[in-house]
Amino acid sequence: MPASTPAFGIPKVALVMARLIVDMEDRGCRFFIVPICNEHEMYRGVTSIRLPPRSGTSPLDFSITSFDHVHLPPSALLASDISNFSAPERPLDAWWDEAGRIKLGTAVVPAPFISAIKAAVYIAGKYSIHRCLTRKDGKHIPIITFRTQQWPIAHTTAVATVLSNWYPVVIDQLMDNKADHRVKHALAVITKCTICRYFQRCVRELAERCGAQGTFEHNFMARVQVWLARFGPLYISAYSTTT
Amino acid sequence: MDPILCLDLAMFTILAAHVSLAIGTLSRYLQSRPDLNILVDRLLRFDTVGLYLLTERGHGLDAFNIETTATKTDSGFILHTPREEAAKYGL
Repeated sequence: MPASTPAFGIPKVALVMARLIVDMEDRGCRFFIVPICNEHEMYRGVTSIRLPPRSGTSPLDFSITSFDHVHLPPSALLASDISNFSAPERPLDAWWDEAGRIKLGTAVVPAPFISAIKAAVYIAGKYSIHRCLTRKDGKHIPIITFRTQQWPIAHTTAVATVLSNWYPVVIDQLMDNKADHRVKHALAVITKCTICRYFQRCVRELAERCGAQGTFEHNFMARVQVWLARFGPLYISAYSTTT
Repeated sequence: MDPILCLDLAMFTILAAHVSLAIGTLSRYLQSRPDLNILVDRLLRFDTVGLYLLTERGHGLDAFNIETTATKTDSGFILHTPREEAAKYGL
């Protein structure tokens, strides 16, 4: 889905961060509410360039959006008081206050990967129970009897259990308005990295234990791994070092 | 969080930007800016998609140094991308 184009017949409005310039002076970064396109076409002065598709199957494309002298009404400034154009005393703190949702978003984006770890270990467990080999005496032995299958499945089950109990605790801490916002930001980054890294390690090993079947699109594991491989750099690093 | 989300992570990403970043940022101002209710209602119904354009081609991790300008005029603002590297990179 190319983000800032009308390709899917739905209007789009963006929150655009820009430097507020008043009397030739930089008054810091603020968000502006900017209509991007209606159902059919881009608005005047707004250009969107679709970036090339990424490997994998998810139809999520990125785009480059630029603005050529786009006129905005005074109410486009996202602020409680739209007549206050003063420069912030502490610009970096003000920036993080503006972009405060990034901190929560950091903790939200890894959430589906906890479900994905659970789904992958269930699939690998079921596969190992029904997949058999035949012994010399003709008896069928399910491969779950092998230590090499048991270990990654038991380990990932433990990881999934710990992560899914830990995550709601983190969310409670992030929603606590009394906690220091810097500590909450650090906690969000740690949560994202921890979940994504465990996902990468565990699911890679489970897919390997499913042999050739683990590579099929409909068997989920390869698909979800590709997804994190493509977006992992974005998920793990984006904004983490801005401070 | 609904486990079905892990079946379509592209859709989840669009929803996360739409709900958590766009609506989440706007809703903070609803008390002082009742005029934003119309937009937030449209977004909540998904009649309009909310985008969050923060980082720029030349400023990803250092988004603090973005270059897009909004210059105050008598009738509002003029939003402008001063050079190619200042174009917004995003979902």
